[in-house]
Amino acid sequence: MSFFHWLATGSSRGIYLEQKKEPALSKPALPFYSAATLQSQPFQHGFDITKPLDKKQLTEIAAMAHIIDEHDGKALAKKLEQCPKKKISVVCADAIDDEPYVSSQINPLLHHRLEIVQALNWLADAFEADSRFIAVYKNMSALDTKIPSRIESVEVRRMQGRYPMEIRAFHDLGSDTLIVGTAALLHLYRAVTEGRVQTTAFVTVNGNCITNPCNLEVTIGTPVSQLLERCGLSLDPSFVVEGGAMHGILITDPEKTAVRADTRSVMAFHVDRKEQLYNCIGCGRCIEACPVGLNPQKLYQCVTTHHLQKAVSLGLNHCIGCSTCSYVCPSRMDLSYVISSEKQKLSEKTEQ
Amino acid sequence: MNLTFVRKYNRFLRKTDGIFTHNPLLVLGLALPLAVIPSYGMTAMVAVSAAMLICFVPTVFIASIIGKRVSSPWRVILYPLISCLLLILSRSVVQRISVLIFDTLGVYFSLICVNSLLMYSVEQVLPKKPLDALAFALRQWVGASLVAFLCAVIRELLATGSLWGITVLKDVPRLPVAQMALGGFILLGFLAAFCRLVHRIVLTLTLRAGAAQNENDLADKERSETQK
Amino acid sequence: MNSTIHHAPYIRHTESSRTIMSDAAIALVPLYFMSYFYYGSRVLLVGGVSILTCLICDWICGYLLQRKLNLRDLSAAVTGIIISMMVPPAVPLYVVVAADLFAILVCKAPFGGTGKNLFNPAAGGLAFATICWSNQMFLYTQPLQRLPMQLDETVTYLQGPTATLKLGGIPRLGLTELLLGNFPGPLGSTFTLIILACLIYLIARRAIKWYLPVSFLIPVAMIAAYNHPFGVSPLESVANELFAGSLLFVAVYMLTDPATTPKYNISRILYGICAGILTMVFRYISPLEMSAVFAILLMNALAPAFDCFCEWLLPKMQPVNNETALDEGGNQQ
Repeated sequence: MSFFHWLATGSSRGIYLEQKKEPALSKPALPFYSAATLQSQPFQHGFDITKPLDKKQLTEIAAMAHIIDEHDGKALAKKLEQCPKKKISVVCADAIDDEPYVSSQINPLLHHRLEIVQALNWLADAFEADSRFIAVYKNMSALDTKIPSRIESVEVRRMQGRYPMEIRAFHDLGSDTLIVGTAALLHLYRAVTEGRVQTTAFVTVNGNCITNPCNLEVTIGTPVSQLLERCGLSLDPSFVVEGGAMHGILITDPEKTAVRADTRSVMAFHVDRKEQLYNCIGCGRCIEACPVGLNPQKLYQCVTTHHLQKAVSLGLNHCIGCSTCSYVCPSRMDLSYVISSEKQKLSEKTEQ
Repeated sequence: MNLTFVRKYNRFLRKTDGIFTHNPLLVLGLALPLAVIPSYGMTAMVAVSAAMLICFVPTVFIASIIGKRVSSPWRVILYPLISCLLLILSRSVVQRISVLIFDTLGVYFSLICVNSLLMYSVEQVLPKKPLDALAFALRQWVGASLVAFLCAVIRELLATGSLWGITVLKDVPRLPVAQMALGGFILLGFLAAFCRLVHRIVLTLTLRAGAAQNENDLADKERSETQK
Repeated sequence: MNSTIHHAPYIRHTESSRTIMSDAAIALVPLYFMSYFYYGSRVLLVGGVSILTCLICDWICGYLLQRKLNLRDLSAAVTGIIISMMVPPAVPLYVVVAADLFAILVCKAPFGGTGKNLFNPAAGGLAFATICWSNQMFLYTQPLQRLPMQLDETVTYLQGPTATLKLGGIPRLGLTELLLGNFPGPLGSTFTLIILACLIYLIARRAIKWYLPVSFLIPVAMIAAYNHPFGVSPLESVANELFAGSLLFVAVYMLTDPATTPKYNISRILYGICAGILTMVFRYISPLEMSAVFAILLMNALAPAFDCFCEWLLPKMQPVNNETALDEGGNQQ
């Protein structure tokens, strides 16, 4: 980032987060199946896998196997169907896990490399793409496994950037790229070779009160409380979160919440709430951390004093909800929650 | 505290409207430089107060007599002119308090002619009868002078340990900033906050008295109904 | 187990208000050690009285304002330490107590307490003490002499090199003396080497930004070098101006108070430069010796103006980058 840019905006466009992915990243994903997986019947797709498969065949296989891409939660079959309308020149496997604790996309990549690369090659050949690569986050330190730079002649591209990086990286790639998650590729390989329907998802179970943090291959529909029991709780958690520590969703009842196909992580944390009684000290760290260049301190003031017009003119609608401002706030204020909920309320009002 | 006492107290407040409620200095914020800066000592404050009595009260009385016969822009010029004429009269009175006070205070005497309290009062008494206007002007003057007097006493004691030039406190360390404008304004701010606190406490007591009376009335009603 | 008061994000940075405050306090305590070495245990008495007064006053004000006490909020203690560092070691205790009370009761609590104050409370308290007792605030003593706890006739008062500079003279102190603070001066703000070490600590812990003290000291050095008196080399003049008084202390601890400085990089740098220029103007024109504190107070009043200026300037300077940011935001909806 240029000096002039730093001088002018004062925003470093995000922050480097401490990635606490070990030991979950290096252990292979442990199976945690229920009856649904063990008793599922394989299907016959009837295609000849010795010859290269084309788009229609892959789309049919994906539809029969009910594969859901965890990158964006859409069904893979639908995604592949929509593709012939635009020309695809790049196929990318998404293994970026830029949130701390989460490693549910890199883990299958490291332990099932050949299958994933084979599936990627099939997709790329079917769409006649010019290039293909696997995207992995660069700023992960203290890893036990070395991430290779090439897997079977497919490039592993390290995407560099501060959190929130995932959104920006894919935006930069352009609209002629097909992005598929690594777990979906693995399921696709299994569907093509063995006719297996997707009944499992890869979930990271981590957090500061989990005894054995690891990645699990869980049957879809398993209650979250069973996952927590499987990995062991060393402390009574204050809350359980699904979907990432930074912008995840709070789970109110782990007994009744089930794992879905695009659940990437389940985390349990224990926090000391006594540290939350401070006022804003005007340090300006939130302004430096905001990737969009907003002023979260002023937005928070406007929202809490109900000056909504001023908040909109300061850029309330441009907030991307990455919660970086709340993360760095030394007074532990809920900046991101207040601003995002106000933005949602406003958009609901304008829709009406 | 019961409701009869509260009613008596509220009646008292209504009668002393410019002194305790709507005090021009603490509540309305009028004539601030006049009361803050000359009140560094009791002599100066008494002199300014006397000058205000002679200039301000008759002007307001005359304003209520003239009423709305003079149109709006000319009123702004007329009443300060009247007040200036009266200021010349007040000089002889003030000279008796202290010979040099006019020269020391200089511009603050001229400020009495066009101060914000005068302009506010002149507009307020237009619909009133002359005697009411006189009472109103007197109440405002008493309110402003009381607060200025309090400020003057505190500031002079803190800064020089003396009252009207006579040393009262001998060994206590002095606080020279109390006699500067800085100290005056800060003191006035704290006085206003303190009076607001007192007002709030009185309001709480009043409300509690009202609530207690309400409960008593309800209990009485129930008793009389059960007796029937 | 689950509560509704937890919102995203669920993990937080390890830096908190408490760590920032304790960093500032840690960076101030070594100055007490050096001062004890020079002046004896009266230093600890003055420091203790100052900290206690500030803390108790702040807790009372916090109770009155919010009806609940946050006993972990020790920002008033930092104010107390800073005030005690800038007064002479032989100052009567009522001066320190009056400065503390003014700092908390007038400069901090009426504006809303911690983080909402407009003026630096330590600067306000010191300005008050300087205006009230302007002769007692500048009577220093010779270092390396034990001061008695109760001030009596054995204490000889001297003028510091700042008085010499104010009169237009040249304090002939060598660089070692200046850096070690071995001349009559305030209680803890002349020990340059320790202050520089604490500055490095604070920058490494990211409690303050490096460009704030630098942007304050560079204009001071440039003006001092340009205006060096006859018979003094520019470098010696710069050393005299920077190290002979409490200017470095003010630059490191009082200029960088997070609540009163502007929020954007460019406005902070402008703020530092203007404060430096204003300090040197006060040094040459005003009759009081303590000029940096008043410059800080004036710049505190203007800090929001710098922020508004920066907010007006940013969209004009970065049309391309702002568009991509808006585009991302627009795409995410």
